[in-house]
Parts: sequence; C-alpha cells; structure tokens
Amino acid sequence: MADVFRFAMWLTRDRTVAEDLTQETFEQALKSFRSYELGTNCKAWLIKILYHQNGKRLRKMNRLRLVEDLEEMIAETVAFVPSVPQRITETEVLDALRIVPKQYSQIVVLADVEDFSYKEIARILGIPMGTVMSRLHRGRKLLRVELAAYARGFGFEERKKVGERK
Amino acid sequence: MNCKDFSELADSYLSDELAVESNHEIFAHLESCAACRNELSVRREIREKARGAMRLDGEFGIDPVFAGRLRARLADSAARDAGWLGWRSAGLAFASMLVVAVVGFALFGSFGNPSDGLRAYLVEKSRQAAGDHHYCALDKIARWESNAGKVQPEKAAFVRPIEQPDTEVLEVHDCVFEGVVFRHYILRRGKAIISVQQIPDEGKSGIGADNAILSERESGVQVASFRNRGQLVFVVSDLSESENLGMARILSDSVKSPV
Repeated sequence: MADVFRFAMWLTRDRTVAEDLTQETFEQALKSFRSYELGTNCKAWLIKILYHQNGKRLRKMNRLRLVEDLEEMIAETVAFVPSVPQRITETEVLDALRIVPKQYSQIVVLADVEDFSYKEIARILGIPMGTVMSRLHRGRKLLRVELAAYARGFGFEERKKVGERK
Repeated sequence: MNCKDFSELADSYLSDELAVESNHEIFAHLESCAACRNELSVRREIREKARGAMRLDGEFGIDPVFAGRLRARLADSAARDAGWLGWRSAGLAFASMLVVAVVGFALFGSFGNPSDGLRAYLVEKSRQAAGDHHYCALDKIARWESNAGKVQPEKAAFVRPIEQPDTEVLEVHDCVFEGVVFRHYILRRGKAIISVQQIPDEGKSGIGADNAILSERESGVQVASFRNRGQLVFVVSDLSESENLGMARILSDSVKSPV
C-alpha cells in the first residue's frame, strides 16, 4: 500500500488527492480482481489501476494534454550527457527530478524507484516498450541536465525549465 | 564494444534488462575502461539517490492512520463480497476466496503473512541478498560456469530439490556482502542465473510463522524469502515472480521435511 501511495503522491503532489487516489485504486482493484492474472506482478497491476484512475481524474479537470510536440522539443534540447557534481545529495536528485517534465519523470520513478521492468512499465502506462525505453533515456538525460545546473551554481528557480515555451 | 555502445546500454545494464551475452560484453569493456566505470558509478549513484529520496522522504510516506482506515475498509468490503457470493454457487464462492487472496496480497505484498518483525528483517536482508546476487553471482558468472558439474553433491544438497532437467548447480561458497556472510548457491536455469542464499536467523527477526514466503522486487531482480529451521533463505533471480516463488515454495516445502 505504501508503494501505491508513494506513486500517487508523485503523480498528484498533494497528500489529500493522493489518499483519495490510493483508496479509489484499491476499491477498483477489489471490483476488478478478475483482471488480475495470478503469478504476475500484483504491484504493477495496482499501479496500472492507479494510473488509469489518475487519468480519469485529470480528464474531469481537463488537465490531460497531448505531449508529442513537447517530446520533439526535448529530443532536440537534450543532445548531450552533461557531467554531474561529484557529490550529490538525495534532496538535490529529488528536486531535479521534480523539474523534469512529468511524462519522463514518472517513467524514471517507475523504473528506478519502484523497480518495474520496461515491459511492466509499458503495461502500466499502456504505451509500447520502445516508447518506454526512449522516454526513460530522455528522462535520465534531462535529470542530468538539471543536476549539472547545481555544478554550474545556478539556482533552479532562475533556470528555465526544459521544454518550457518562451 | 566501445564507449558509445556502453553509454547506450549502461542504463539497461543497471536495470538488468540485457541478455547475458550483452552483460558479458559490458563486463569486458568495463575491465579495460576507467571512464566508463566512472560513468556507471555516476548513473548508479543517481538512481540510488532518487530511490532513497523517495522511499525515505516523509513527504512520500503513507499516513499510518489513513493506511489502517483503508485496510479496515477493504477487509470489510472483501468480507461483504465473500458473504454475498458464498450462497450463490461453489464457483462464485471460489471467486470470493480469490478476492480475499488478491486483496490480502495487495495489502501485505506477500504470500502467507510473515509477522511484522520477520517481514522487516526479511526486507532488509533481501536487499543485501539482491546486492550479493549482483556483485557475486552475476559479476563472476564466467568463473562459476567453468565450475559447473564440479560441485560436490553434499555441498549442494540444500538446493537439490529445485534441480530440474533444465537447472544445474554451478557453485556453492560462502561470501560476504555488507558484512553479512551468505552461504551462496548459484544455479543456472536456461539463461537465468539464480542465487539461493542462506543466513542464520540468530533470533533477530522476531517471532513469526515459518514458511510464509515474502516476495518482492529488489534492485531489478525477484527476491523470495522465508525462514525455516533457524535459517533465512533468499531465492534471487530475474525469472518471473511466479517462477521465482515456485522455487522458493519447493525449497520451503522440502526443508519442512529434512532433505
């Protein structure tokens, strides 16, 4: 349950909304238990339900938007892998991850924090495995761009977020 | 393999998403390239920091009061469904049992229900077992493979029950990871490398049911762990959760009756 809540919290950044989402996820899981294949990763199944429930919530709020143009912009922006400071702290990594656009950061979180395989992430998000791999690749590069900002001594507040339009 | 190839594959290597052959190419390149070893350690560090930040940061932690309330609510809901379905038919009654089982797994993330003390201890040691699997079994696999068939039967007796026609014992030894001394059995099933690790319980895990198996994904691999006869046992592999659990079940059943 803690893992489901953690990802809900990452998606919503709001404890009350994350708790509602976690509750809806488990209630939905109870209703649709027949869709769970015994022997498969139960946590991945729950996170998939969570992701779906969150999509419904965002659609209600009209906050779901297409991101293809943003992806192309980012692909052009992240052309190199910058060096990162020799010593980075957990807080710095978390702050940098928050700045990375969500469609990339959520895949980084699913892979690196929640330990899902590429195949499981593809199932959770309902996207092809190739897309998972390319977004993960870009997400990690973007994370390093943000971490490199620490090395250059810029504050995050002063920097323009990657992919943000002029 | 050159540095550019390595850079493309390094993250998949860390996620254990590469075929064994590609892993071998990575090892070979790393042996001769200090820059790529450094690059790999930077990538590993970023991952570990991200993982640590989100798992330990209070902001992402669930409120125990909320968790307790939701557990009670789900248990009520599952019990109501079971009662409603129970009188209709045997098939539906089975389905209701499945609901309870799935919800139980969703809530506790395990098969069986180890006590909290045992669970916490197994989780901590599972992380170390997965680390030992990476740093001992996977990194030295070429050496162990040359030992295949040379393992003395009495040394490999503990893992014999999970030996199938497609599984063989490559190596048995004692190794140390983060100060923990593991009895480490390395097996190969097809392309998969499986570590079975044993450590004495030493009474630190508290009181809990033996043979309850905890299953989790840790550092990109499946870890199934249980306690039996004063030993904590970890089965670690990149097999599917059900296959990995299957081996842990065979082992836990066999150690109930002496091997």
